[in-house]
Amino acid sequence: MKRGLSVIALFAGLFAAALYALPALCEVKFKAEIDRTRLYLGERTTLTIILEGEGVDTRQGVESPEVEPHFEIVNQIGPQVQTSMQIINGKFTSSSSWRMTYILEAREVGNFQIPPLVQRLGNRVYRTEAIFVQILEPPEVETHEENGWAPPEDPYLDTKPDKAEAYVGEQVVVSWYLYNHRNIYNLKIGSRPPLTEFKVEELETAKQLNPQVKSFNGLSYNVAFIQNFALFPLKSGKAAIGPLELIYSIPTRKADLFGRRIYQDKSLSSAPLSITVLPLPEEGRPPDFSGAVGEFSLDATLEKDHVRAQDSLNFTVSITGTGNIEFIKAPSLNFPSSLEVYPPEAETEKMIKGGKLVGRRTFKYILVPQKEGDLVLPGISFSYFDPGVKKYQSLESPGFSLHVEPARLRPASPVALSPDLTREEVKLIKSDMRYLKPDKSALKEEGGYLVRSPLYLGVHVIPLFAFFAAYYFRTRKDRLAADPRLKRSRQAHPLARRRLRRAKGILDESHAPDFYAELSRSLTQYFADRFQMEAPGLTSEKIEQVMKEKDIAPDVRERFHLVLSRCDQARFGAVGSDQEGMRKAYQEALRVISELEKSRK
Amino acid sequence: MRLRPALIFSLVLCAKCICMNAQAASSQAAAALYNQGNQFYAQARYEQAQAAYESVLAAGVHNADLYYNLGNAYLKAGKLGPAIHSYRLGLKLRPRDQDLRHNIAFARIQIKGKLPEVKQNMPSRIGTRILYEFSLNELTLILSGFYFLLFLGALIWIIHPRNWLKRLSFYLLLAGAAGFTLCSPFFAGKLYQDLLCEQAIVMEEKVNAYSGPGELNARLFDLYEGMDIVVRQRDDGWSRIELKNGLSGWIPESSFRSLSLPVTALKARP
Repeated sequence: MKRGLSVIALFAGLFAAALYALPALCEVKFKAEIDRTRLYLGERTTLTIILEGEGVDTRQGVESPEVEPHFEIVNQIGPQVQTSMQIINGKFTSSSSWRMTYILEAREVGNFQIPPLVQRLGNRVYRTEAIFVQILEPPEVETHEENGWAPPEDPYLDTKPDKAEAYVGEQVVVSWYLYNHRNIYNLKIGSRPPLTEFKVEELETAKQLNPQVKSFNGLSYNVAFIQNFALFPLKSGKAAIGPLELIYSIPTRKADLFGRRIYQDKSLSSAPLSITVLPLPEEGRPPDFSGAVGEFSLDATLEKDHVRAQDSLNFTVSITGTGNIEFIKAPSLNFPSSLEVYPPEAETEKMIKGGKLVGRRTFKYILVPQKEGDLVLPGISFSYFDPGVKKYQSLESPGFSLHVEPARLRPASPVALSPDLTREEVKLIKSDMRYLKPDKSALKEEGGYLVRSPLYLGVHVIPLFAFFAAYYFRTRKDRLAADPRLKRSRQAHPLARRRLRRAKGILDESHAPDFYAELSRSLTQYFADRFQMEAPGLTSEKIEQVMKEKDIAPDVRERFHLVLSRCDQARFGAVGSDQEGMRKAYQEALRVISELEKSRK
Repeated sequence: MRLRPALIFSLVLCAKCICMNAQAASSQAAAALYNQGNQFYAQARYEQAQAAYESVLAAGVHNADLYYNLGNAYLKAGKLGPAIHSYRLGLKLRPRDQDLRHNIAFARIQIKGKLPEVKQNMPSRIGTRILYEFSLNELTLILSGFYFLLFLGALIWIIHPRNWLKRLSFYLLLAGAAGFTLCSPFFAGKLYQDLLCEQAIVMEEKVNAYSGPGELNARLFDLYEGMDIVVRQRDDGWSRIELKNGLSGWIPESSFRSLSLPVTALKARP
């Protein structure tokens, strides 16, 4: 009964889940989008068709839209397919998107409707909305037919110099443009044009083609800038501009094993060309002309108008303009002889402005006035040839006045510096030496070397001794721990001495029997420990026997017995127990024991 | 003028014999003389300042501050060689003193000539750097420290008491051995530099170095006042010297001053 109920509950749950999921299932998007609806003949547009949602079968695809004859499908990208899967509330859903992009080229003038696309999905039908497009006649301005000129071939690489005639050193900008009607792929620059008769400055190279559509003889062409150079002719006469080579590929009809289109590499060269280079006119050439051709301006600045003698100051001359900026030589300075002038440091900045090379050449002079006084510095003059007006021009900067103060105080010794100083050393020169250490109440002795002190070296022997001592005690302790008999025998003497000391503590007449008993016990106990025996059953015969076996000298044996027997006699009152006798017995016992110790091997 | 400081100091020396605390008295007397040198210096009387400082040295007190001030007095008087000599001695005692380092660098850029430098490789640069940062006494103490640590570890290890102590002793042993091995090459290097080889400073403005002892030999290169040299061999008034870049030649013994610190009575602390 219970099981039946749970089964029903399960089904009810599943049903509810299915109901809940139903609206999601229905969400399918199907649409067509075009990026512009108004365009001129020959222009291109993109049409994107998107189908996405749950249950979309991406393998099925969508039919191509009917766009002809107003449009031609130039290219199609896709289909791009994406599938995502997720689990929500324990339910598994999968949604897919299918996307196709068509590149269309307008072919026929008129108003036109791209009909809706129809897609059947399961038992439902989806359709896109119709798109209305207007295709116009291209405006007159846009037709680009220069005197009926048209690219002689497709593709075509054209060389365009900005002038056909130039003076030596004048800037000529040569640009290359690519014309193509058919699509070309994998475009790259093959080799630089040979330009031996010029000084070449590369201006710009297209990183990405940015084509403009122009029509020639009714065919629309993509016209794209490829590269341009600023050329400065080096000598007069005819100067050849060599061909630029491009490499590109075009699709063939063949396909490889995987159905991919095979491309064929081709190369394309521009036609060589030459320009006429005129010599610079002799007439009116200023004496200080040094070969600058173009349009320039001159600027000269003095860092400061007052300075100390022997200190340096900067003098900067900068020439800015359009032209062969790197050809400009440092202008000569006609400064008073009391001003030392060091050879200038030249710096060139180049940039592209209005498709031409412009630049600034800066000369930095270092001036060092030798003595104080007021100086008048004449202006700087600079001459160049202006090809625009075909004349030589001269520029002159205003003069400067410089007030030189007396030289700074130098250290007592003339600091003659060696010329090849490093950067840090130059920094150091600018600082001064540091001042004295302060006064002191006591001046500590800091000299002497520790390694020369016998005491210091001697201290280092201590750990060596400590090490060997520790090693000795360690091994001894280990041996005793491993052999209890040895330990007993070794400790016999110290134990005996301890007992004798106890006996000595009661050394007076009233305790005579106790004293002798203790003495006797110490001796027998010592003997027992020393020779590994039991103290209680030790008779004098037994002692004698063991002593003989151990090779104890006869007089020691005798004395041992004598002390023992004296103890026994005294204990039982056989002899007088005076203090003197007790002391004697005690000392004899000590001596006998140490004699016995000596016999140890 | 030179006599006066010396007189004062000999008086002080007599006082020292009488005084119970001879050490303290002498160091106070040395300080008095040193302070007097500072006064002379402040009045730009550099010759007198030198004399005052040098009389402290002559009495056997060696102190990095003293060498520094003496070097300054020399440099102000335009004596480049003695100035660098004095700074070098000061640096031997106190190698990380910033004033000494700055002024010796300032003095060295005034050396009239420059010899080509040799690029050192990485390990030898590090080695040179460490030798430059520590004095011989400091390296000696560090090495001794590791030596005692090593033996302390060994002792505890031999006595081997409880477990944790034994583990500790193992680490001590390891640290001691590692430190000792690491430090000993630097110690040896410094020992060689400071004690076993004779360093010197060129004292004459320009010295010709010859290929053998005597002016009849071929002239090899020039040395300038203040340059650091190492004396390798002595022969009849001439010495074979070597430069940091490996150049070697003979120059007269009178043209340089040795950099050895005088051996003095040692105190407990360096």
